[in-house]
Amino acid sequence: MIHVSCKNCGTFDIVGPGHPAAEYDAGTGQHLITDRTALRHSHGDDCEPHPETGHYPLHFTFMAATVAPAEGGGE
Amino acid sequence: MTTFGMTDSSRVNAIMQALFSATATGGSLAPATGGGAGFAISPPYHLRLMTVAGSNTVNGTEATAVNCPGYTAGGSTLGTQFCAAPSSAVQSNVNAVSWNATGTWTSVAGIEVWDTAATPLRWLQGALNSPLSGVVNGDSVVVAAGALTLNAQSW
Repeated sequence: MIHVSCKNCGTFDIVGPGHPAAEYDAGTGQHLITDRTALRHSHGDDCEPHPETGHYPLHFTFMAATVAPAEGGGE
Repeated sequence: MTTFGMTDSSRVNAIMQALFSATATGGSLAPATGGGAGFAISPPYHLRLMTVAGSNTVNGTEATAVNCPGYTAGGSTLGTQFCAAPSSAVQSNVNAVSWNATGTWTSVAGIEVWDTAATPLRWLQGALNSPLSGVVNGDSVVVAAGALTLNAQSW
């Protein structure tokens, strides 16, 4: 599970329910974002878009992942 | 004849703690005759991001500074101690790991945990249920403390 939020204020909105770029996980109540254009930033007066990309920087957080023993690994 | 279905949980905990909670290189396992090859325990462990997930037999394709700007091949440290002591054969990472993207990233499909021996060894791997995508310049990518779970209850 990867949780996406505004890097500055920690929140985000989804542009329209059922947006194809936003997948809702009912189990965790969190959204998975596959396209940042699905985000609408409507909060945090002190949040500024990135000067080069024009996007509001996001914070992608791995919330849960299961790792298993590897076999034969090495380099 | 008795068939054993499970390894004693206390022994599994001991093995896991020796491997993934150690904070210094050492504690090498040197089996006696017939015990197979010995191996060293070489923390700190590094978390690597994979653009193509591996399997339990094949390494994934690691991200690079080119396709994931801000990431450095070889991964980032999981801290002096990777995992706290296990409980019921389950343990998780103590420290968060983060990267600051300086350009557009290729999707990340898997993660792996490697040690820092002279020739690093891969210890753990996992595919992400949902690939990490859409990361661009200015974003941050964080693996939260406690986000990585190692479950050996089926040993």
